Amino acid sequence: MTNRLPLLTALMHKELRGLLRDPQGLLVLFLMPTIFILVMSLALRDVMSAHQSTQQRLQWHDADQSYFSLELRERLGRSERLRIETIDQTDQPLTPPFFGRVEIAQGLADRLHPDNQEPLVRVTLDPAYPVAGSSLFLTELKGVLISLRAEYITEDVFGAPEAEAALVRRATRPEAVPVTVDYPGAAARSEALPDATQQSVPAWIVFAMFFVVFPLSTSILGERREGTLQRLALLNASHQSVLAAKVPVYLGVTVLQASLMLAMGVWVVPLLGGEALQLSGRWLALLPITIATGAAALGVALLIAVLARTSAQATTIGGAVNLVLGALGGVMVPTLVMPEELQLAGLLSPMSWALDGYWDIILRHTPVQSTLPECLALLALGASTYAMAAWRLRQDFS
Amino acid sequence: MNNSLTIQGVKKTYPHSDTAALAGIDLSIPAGCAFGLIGPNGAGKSTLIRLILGLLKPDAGRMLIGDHDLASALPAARRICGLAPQDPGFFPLLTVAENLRTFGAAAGLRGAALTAAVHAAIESTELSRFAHRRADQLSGGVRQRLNVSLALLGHPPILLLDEPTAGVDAESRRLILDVLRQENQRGTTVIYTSHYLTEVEQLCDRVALIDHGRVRFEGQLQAALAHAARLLVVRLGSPPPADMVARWDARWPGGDIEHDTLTLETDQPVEALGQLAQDGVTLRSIEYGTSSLEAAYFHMRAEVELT
Repeated sequence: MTNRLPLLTALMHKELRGLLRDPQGLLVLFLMPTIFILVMSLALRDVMSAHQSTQQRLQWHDADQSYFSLELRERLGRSERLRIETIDQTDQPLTPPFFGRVEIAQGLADRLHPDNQEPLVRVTLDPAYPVAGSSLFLTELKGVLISLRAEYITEDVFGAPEAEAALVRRATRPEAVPVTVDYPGAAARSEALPDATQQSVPAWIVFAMFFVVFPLSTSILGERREGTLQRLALLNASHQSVLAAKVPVYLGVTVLQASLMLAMGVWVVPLLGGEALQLSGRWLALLPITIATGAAALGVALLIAVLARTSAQATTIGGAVNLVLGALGGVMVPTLVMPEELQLAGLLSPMSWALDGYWDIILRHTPVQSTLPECLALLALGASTYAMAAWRLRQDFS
Repeated sequence: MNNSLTIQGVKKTYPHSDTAALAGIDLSIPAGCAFGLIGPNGAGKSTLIRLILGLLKPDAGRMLIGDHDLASALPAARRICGLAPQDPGFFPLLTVAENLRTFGAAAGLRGAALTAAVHAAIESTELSRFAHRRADQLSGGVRQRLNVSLALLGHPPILLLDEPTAGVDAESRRLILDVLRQENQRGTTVIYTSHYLTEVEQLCDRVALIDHGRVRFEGQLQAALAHAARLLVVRLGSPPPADMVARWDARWPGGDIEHDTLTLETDQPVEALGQLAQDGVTLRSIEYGTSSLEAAYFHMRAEVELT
């Protein structure tokens, strides 16, 4: 080992210099994920935020102009996410920026009667509007209509006195129905609900780390093509030295990637109007899962790089593997919204293990020990793929 | 160490091939000599080089570099060799000096010895001007100079160079030959393969011709040149008719007519030319007794074809 140390040091210097002189590799490793984080945090800000800053626009046509129709609009209008705009005509097709239209025909009070079978209101929704948003709006609308019907029955069907009717009116409003909601670890954040930044920064950090396959395969395949590995073999350098020299350099790169992206989430995203990533000073708690994720990414990348015959092959295979692992692992779409079979398949993705570890620290605010299973699984993957890569590279040297 | 390289009965047949790439090679290269390994493409020369480098294993036979048997002491054998392979094999993103330092470290050089070796290699191949230029930005000639300078690192007792001047400009070629000549004068054994026979002639004192997997000639350069001393080479205006070729073969056995070139080892060149005149053949050029390695090479190759 003592004899190999100067060679290892020389090869590590070589790796570092090579990486610093590879602008395309640096772009892939640092600029691309940075852009991802900015774009995704800002793009998903409203989708994943408890209070949306961008209001959804709704057309409103009220031919009734009764107490109930006016009350319906007033109560719906309390929702921060809706901007209701009155229209005179309903013969124009529904087009963006409006996501929907509500039409109230004359006689809403009569239609509120329990025996009535006619639709209370007519709703038109843009089919391109996300289903989750449509469902939320319809739930809100029906909730207000139910409370108005309760009022109508109390007052007009049962003829209850004004005081009792007012009581029903107050009691059926959403704000009068308190529910306790717990988000474990939320006490450490200023927001109860995790926002887009909290969710997407760890996802893109994990995804970006696996992109180490691109510069790494460029380096290994270039050295094989140029005959550099052969020359090293002729100088009695071992394949272990060549591979081992890459580990500290590229592992350092993955840790640096994660640090930069976390810093982006904490300090840059809020400058651009997004929610800041809240780490509550737990930077060091993220180190084990970051190193373990980097080790797994490095192992997989080394294996792909030594198995590929050309750079194009490595790029194609590496890119495809990353996309599949990312999709299954919940980077693009949270695994919770996937079908059960895909959720099970997602458990096989190291990106899902890594993401779980990050969310343990950032979202669930659990102690650092809670990431031990994920760390061990990732390290085991890194070690086994490294061993396979070393076995394959040995053939180039023998 | 009497011999720098000893090869005894080495055979090699590639998998899925019917013919042997090397059909039993015996060679001894004395220490301190400049040895040229020549032969046409596909003769088995590259296979032999790969065997010497330890990149292939022979099917039979024994090879020693110095006193080290390649079968049992390959790392030790490689330690006394400076190698300039056909594919230069640099780190493309490193500079010339950084490449030399990295490969020097791989060769086991450390600290001040490494710095001195890098400096000496740069100086001897006149690479100072390019020391801080990246390898992927070098011209073909400078790349090969770097290839040779990497082989020179630490002044190993044996240099093995596989076509180090292929695709190289005249200036760099001359410089490489000068460097190798100087190294040889210092006592370094130089084993040199090239398709440029004039280079082999300029550099080497011994040569071996390999063809069809066998050593067809091995000995002093002067002995090889003597092969050409009685050689008549005539280039005809056009390929001769078949009846003329038949008459020629009957009159001059051992001669060879290939396309429009006639070669014959003879003491009677005037008579041979006389018969050509009688046959009414148009002559383009006549060479006789030109002692060049190229002429000797073609003559030896023709002999191989006859056997």
